[in-house]
Amino acid sequence: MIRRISNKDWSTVLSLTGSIIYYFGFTMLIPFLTGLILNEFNSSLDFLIGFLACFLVGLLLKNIFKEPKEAEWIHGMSATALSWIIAMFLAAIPYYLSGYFLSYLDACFDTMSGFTTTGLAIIQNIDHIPISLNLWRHMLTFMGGQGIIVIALVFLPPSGLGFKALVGEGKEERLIPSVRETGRAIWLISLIYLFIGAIFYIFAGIYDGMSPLRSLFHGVCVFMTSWSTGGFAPQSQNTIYYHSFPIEIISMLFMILGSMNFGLHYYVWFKKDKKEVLRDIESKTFIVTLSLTWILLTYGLIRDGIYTNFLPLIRRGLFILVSGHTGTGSMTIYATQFVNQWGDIGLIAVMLAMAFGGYSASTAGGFKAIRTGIVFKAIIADIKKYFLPRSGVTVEKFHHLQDAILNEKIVKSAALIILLYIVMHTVGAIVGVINGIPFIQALFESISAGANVGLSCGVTAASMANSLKVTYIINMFLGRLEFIAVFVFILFIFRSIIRKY
Amino acid sequence: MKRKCFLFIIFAISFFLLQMNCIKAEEPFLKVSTLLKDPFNYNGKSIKFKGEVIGEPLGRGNNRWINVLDNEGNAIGVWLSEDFIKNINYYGKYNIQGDIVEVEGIFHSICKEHGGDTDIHANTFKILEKGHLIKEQIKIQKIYIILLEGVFIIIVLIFFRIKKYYESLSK
Repeated sequence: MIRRISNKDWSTVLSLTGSIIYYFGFTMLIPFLTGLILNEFNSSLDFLIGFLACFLVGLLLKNIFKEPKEAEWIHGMSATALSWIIAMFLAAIPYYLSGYFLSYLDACFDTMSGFTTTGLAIIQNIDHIPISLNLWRHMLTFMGGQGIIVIALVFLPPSGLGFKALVGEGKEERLIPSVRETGRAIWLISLIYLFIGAIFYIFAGIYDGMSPLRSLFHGVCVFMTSWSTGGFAPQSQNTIYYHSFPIEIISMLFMILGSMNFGLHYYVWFKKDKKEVLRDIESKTFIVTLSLTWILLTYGLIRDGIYTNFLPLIRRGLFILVSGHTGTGSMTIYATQFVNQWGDIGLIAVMLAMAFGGYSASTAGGFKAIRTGIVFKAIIADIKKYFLPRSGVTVEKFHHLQDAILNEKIVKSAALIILLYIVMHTVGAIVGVINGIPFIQALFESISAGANVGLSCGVTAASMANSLKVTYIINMFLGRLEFIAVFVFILFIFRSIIRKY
Repeated sequence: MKRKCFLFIIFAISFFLLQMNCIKAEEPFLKVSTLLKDPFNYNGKSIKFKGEVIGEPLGRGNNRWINVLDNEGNAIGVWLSEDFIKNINYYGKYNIQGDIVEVEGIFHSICKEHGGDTDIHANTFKILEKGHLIKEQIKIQKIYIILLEGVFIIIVLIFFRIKKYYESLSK
């Protein structure tokens, strides 16, 4: 029997949501100060308005609703879903006020795209936007990649609610027994990489002829987008803008690192166990799916005579494939080239890569390597059964940070989420087709949005129908939170209404 | 009669030249979207492109990259001589309108020289319009919103402080 939802439950959820929004708002002070330093006063005012709005909403929710001592899974999950929705509306305020969006819906679209590290963008005139606004775009992907709950966890007082909210955000690996310390560890890992990555990019930028200051800005932004598997870029041409092989290589490296499980990073950095990376089922699965899609893509591109040399195959083909597989969405070709040049095999290979996605508990989207690996292992185990003697029993194991036995519950859970992703991609494609988009392009864009990738074949634009924008916003949201937290929140609301009537 | 004929011929030639000038003025510059819609058709052909120079020059050596933004909001890389680049006054970014330039060169949908890049190798380069700085104008309405938010926050803070005080008294 499903439990009823009382006012006390709402109070718990809204109290936690208030705290998350309150702390999240402070992140707007970074672009606010950047704007002040760079004489972008209009932009600074936009961020001050956004910060005060977050402060006010957070303050009201925190003070009106008291946080209880005990909390359940539904509270954590629902608070996560609600926080993401409210944060989207509030973070879209500076976007909208900047005047670079045609509507508030467009601003919400780009905000959700940033938060979910998707990278689909409908902002206007990117090449002329203020640096502070551009920084905010990349900060959104960086914060969204680690998770806005993770931001709040660093500041929130320790409580049982933290981990429950964290799981709702897709960060189910508890690196350290304390949830607060887990949040801090995630941020520490990301900041170490930010420092290293930015240095790489800055040197590449200077080598590429940029001024040190411009390369610092571009370096930080492009690192944030690669590591968070975001896909935004400071210029409208995305990675094409740089015309630089070193930047493309560095990006591929950080896209792969960013799509890896935070637990694995923790093992490598803090437990000094580098071999864990290769032992893990996720790494094995990722290598297999990346190799298979790469073979398919290469076959398609060579067969159709698109890229016949090694270098374009790496700089365009492999880059796009890695970008798609890791859920980044950075591009070294123009959106329309997918359709007009790459052909069907290229599109299918990229769609498959996007759907598979990166590692679990990372910034990447998609099915996630662990689920693909588990389902594959379960299929093999099922086939093996037929070759066993009547009394024979096999126990399948897999290694994911620790050894585990492959049981029915794990397989069912993995298969269910994969099924939900497939349904979501299909629904998104149907909405696209209803809006007059050819099926293959509609499917491509739907997978890109739902798997939080951001590669576009030209469908995503400010001129697309509002129904499609809303569909993609929902898909990005569902894909990032991996359904369960959103479904729990929907049931939470539904049960509240049932209670009243 | 001769005089009339002469005047008529002059008028006809002037009219013809005027038309020619009009045709030249309306000469279509290709857009990025047009080039990408049918890339194999334009590949390796000489094209004319017009747009705003954005960002900064990139790369090293005698030939470098600039990115040129057309009036549809799509940019493309132009590979050109350093001598041309020296003439550029402004690169478009926030509060800067970049130079409007005309590029004539070879379009490559998949450039073999540049790892499959989609680019234009410029043969001629002309600055049509010099860029300029744009003065930022602060929107006063934004300051009103901030003041309003500030007042709200102060009221809320005072309210909760008073509430807390009475709660502690009642305890």
